[in-house]
Amino acid sequence: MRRTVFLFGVFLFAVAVGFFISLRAPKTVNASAIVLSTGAINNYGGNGDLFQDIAEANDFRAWYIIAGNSVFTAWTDGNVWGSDFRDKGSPNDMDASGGSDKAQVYYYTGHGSCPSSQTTTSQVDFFITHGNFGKPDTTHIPTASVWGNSGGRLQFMLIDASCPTELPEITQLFPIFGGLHMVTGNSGDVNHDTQDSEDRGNEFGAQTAGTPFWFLPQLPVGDAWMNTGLIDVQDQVCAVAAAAGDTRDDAINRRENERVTSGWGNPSNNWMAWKWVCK
Amino acid sequence: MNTNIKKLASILGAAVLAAALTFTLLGCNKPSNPETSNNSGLSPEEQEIQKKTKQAAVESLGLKLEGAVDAGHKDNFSGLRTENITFTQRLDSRTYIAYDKRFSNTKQTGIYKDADEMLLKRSHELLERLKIPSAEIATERVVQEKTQVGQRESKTGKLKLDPIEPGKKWALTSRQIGGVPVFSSRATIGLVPNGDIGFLEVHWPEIPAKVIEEARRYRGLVEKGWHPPEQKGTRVESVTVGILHSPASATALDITPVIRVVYAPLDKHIGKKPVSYFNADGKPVTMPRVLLQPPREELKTERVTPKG
Repeated sequence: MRRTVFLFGVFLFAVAVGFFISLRAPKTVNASAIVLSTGAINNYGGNGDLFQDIAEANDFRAWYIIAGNSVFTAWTDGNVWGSDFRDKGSPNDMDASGGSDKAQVYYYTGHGSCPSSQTTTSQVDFFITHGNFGKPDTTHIPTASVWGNSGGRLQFMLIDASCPTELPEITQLFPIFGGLHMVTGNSGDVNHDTQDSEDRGNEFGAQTAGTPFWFLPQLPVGDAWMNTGLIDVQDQVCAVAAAAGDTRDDAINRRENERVTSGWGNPSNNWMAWKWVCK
Repeated sequence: MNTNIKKLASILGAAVLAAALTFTLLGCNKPSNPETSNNSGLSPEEQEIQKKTKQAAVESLGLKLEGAVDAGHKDNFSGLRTENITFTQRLDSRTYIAYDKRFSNTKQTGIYKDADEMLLKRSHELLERLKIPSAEIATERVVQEKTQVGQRESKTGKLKLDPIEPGKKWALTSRQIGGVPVFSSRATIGLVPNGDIGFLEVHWPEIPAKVIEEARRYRGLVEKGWHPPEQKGTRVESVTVGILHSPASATALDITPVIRVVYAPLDKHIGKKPVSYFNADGKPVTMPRVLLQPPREELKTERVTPKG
């Protein structure tokens, strides 16, 4: 009897402690918090200036801050350099003052380049900055950008600029995945283009960051971009999301299910799975 | 001696049991009953908010809340959450967001394969249940994702591409009121294979009559030859009168009539078209706010250039 009571007591104590720990631990450790950067350009020196991009980046960043993440850099206009997106040269994407490979998430909003048609085979995936340093301002992503390599931290490169993830050039994006998990962007052409928009970045930020106390759901990056990447775009513009993977299934799984806070390891770039949806 | 040990063991057992119960009660802030949320301590008004939120989720949208339901509200949002489903609605707007995380896991869940017409019919039905006026629907369309996988041989760089496959379908709905487009309103709906909601975002706030009236006045001015301000390095591509308001994910709800001007860069290689919103005087409008209290940031304004 004595032994039974004692064992029962030990059992209850163990259950209680285990239950208590299981409930408390996730609330006291925010292991999934990430570091993000934004680069937003309105001022192109009076040559095709944009109007909404800085506000758009502010909104995007706000959701991440509210969700408990931290900001590495949030440069605007001339402080966003072309070199921030290039793997080679000096400075480059590892520049401590704002290189894009220093954060886990980088959200770029500004001009890109668009081809005359979506069937082009010429190089089209360019960032176009208007920097006060780190020239040139144009960066051809497939040949000049590699993220997540050599100590780089970037996992998600989120591009709000048409059209640096042009579908005809999509297979040329393999080299950018030096550890990078996903890239998102738009595909279009000069007559089917994205428009300057504050809403697009706001909604994308809200959906990827998630905000538990407002019950805003956190979507995988791919799904979030598929339904927000078509906000304020012209007909025939496509939202594109591409993920690297160690295997075919890994790449597909990341494309469909990876969230910015999933905490998954860096993939190799042997496989790439992508999806797109067009308006 | 034996009696004392028995007493000690009994006391220890009772103490541990009490501790277990205490831990359980204090540690658990999630309701264990699948049918109810933990709304003890809420005022009658707050309970009413939760009740209406659950009604919108279950009765209007048909969300199946299985297992424990966590419910609550903060600021202008009231929502609930189960293991798979998250639902939130705004208390200051006809704004609803629902997401079933199984929707994303297409490998396990599959994709909705019914005809586009069926998706549009279901979209209509859901909008109707949310009391969205059908007369305000401007355009509806179904877009479908396409997916592809490629492998690159690391040594040779040779590419192998799988065939393109169909992906998720999304029903997109835009809004107008009496011919005036409401640029910021939209409905986006995706379904899981059995027709249940996979993702839904409906943002359709009520627009005050005076805003619509003012927008119509703007339209009259544009028809009479209102000229948009020029922007260097661009040409005016389009001028459209409409209504702008705060987005779905927001704690603010500002609504304003605008004249939207889309500019096209003269350099045709530059992508992303500048868009500016003006009032009838040709002055930029104050853009609708997103967050009433944005998080405070100490942003640097000058970036130090490397020396040498």
